[in-house]
Amino acid sequence: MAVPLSQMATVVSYVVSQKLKGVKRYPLVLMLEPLFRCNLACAGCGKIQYPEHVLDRRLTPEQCWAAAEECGAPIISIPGGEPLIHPEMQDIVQGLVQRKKYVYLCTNAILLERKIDEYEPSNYLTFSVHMDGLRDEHDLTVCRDGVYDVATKAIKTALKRGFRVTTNTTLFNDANPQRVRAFFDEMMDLGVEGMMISPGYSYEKAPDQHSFLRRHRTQELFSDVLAKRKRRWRFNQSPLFLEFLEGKREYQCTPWGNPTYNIFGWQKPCYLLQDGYVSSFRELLESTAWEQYGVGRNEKCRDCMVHCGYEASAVEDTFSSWSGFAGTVKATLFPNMT
Amino acid sequence: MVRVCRNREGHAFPQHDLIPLFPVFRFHFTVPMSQDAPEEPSEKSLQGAVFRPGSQEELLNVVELAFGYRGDITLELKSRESTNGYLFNRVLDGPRSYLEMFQPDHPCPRKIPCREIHAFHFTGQDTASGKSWEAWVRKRQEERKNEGQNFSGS
Repeated sequence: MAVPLSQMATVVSYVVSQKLKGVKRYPLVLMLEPLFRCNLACAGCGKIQYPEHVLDRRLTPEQCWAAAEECGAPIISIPGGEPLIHPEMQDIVQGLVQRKKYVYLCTNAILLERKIDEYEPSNYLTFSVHMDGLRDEHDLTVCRDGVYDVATKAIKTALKRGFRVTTNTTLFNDANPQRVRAFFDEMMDLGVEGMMISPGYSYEKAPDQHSFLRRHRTQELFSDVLAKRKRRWRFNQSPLFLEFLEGKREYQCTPWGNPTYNIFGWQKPCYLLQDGYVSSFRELLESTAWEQYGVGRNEKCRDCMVHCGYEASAVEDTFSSWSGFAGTVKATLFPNMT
Repeated sequence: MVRVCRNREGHAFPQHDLIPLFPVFRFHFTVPMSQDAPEEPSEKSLQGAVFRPGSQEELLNVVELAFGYRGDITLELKSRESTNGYLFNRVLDGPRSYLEMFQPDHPCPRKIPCREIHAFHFTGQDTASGKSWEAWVRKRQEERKNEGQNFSGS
């Protein structure tokens, strides 16, 4: 199983309680960006193109904890920028863990071995290591040679120390399905708890605009990658989301499922688009024109199939109908029969 | 409507139904190419542009350009004050519309009512027109080629 039972139980009880309360829009994963500065400059990333004085700004631990409490999501993902650059990251994580939030610290792992002593292994803390493929593909994507080797070494160290470790992988349109499958084997050989995969999103501000996937191409690629799935591959995400990537299911985006908070405030409408900021989560929910976003509603959303928009849609499907629930059970137990 | 205009040096830039009153200048970096050297702004960059909106519609158009710009902007206010920073938010609500800007030396953002703005200067480096994918691939290929030459020469 890719996710511990305690985490699964927390998420299930949270979603069920939201549904029983009749809450139409609820957050599942808070995307907490405490800084934009990174020690890499990946060609596909649109998150780090800011003036120096903006890159120098950071959220304080208190701001992070307040956002987590206000939002109420059971899972907190900490992307960036590179979170391990933040000098108070261990305090931020410790405070979130004390609040019984499941924290996914997304890192390129360059600093992980140096900083690992600052963290305590916990069921609530997972290092989610950015790995975009085997050595050649990963180093090309992050625009620096040697990062793959550093990251795999750090993964081994973290696992040896008893930390939960997953990988997060963005697949671009030049991905070779056989190489991706070999990459999955290699990650499972390393002993990671699970893998997270997602297609890239064409950031307007990212330098590389040629490598992003069109919707149909996304479905083709993920169908090839996930065909005749090996039993040993464990994915740390909704099985219905994987079926969505393969084109077996259609979902509309639920951007409120993964709200984003960063140095500018609560970001409208989602992790990927920047249409403005508000100062509270409540204001985000109430003032965002949600009906203007999603496939068929907004040109910028046309080809997007990214996890931060659709994973929450898949989870919602699981708990909205018996067919969704049965589909989830079937996809979990028999992934090659759907 | 977006047109493509050319400045005096023949470089193209998008023109959103607005004519800057000043000629649009571009910064030409003279640093030699290295991994950390900034590249020249792309053809679409607004870096160096100046806009003095003459109507509410023009103002809204420039605000959108400034909001999407990944560099610092200098605002020339009607009070003759000039303020510089990164414009990260805009709240458009008729006469109460305002912009939010992070200034380099201030911890808190500053709110600036749109009605007080006289001109927008795109003064900061456009960080989104940084190192390109093609440049990285080219550099990587050259490195591989050099490695091969060194190996065969040793």
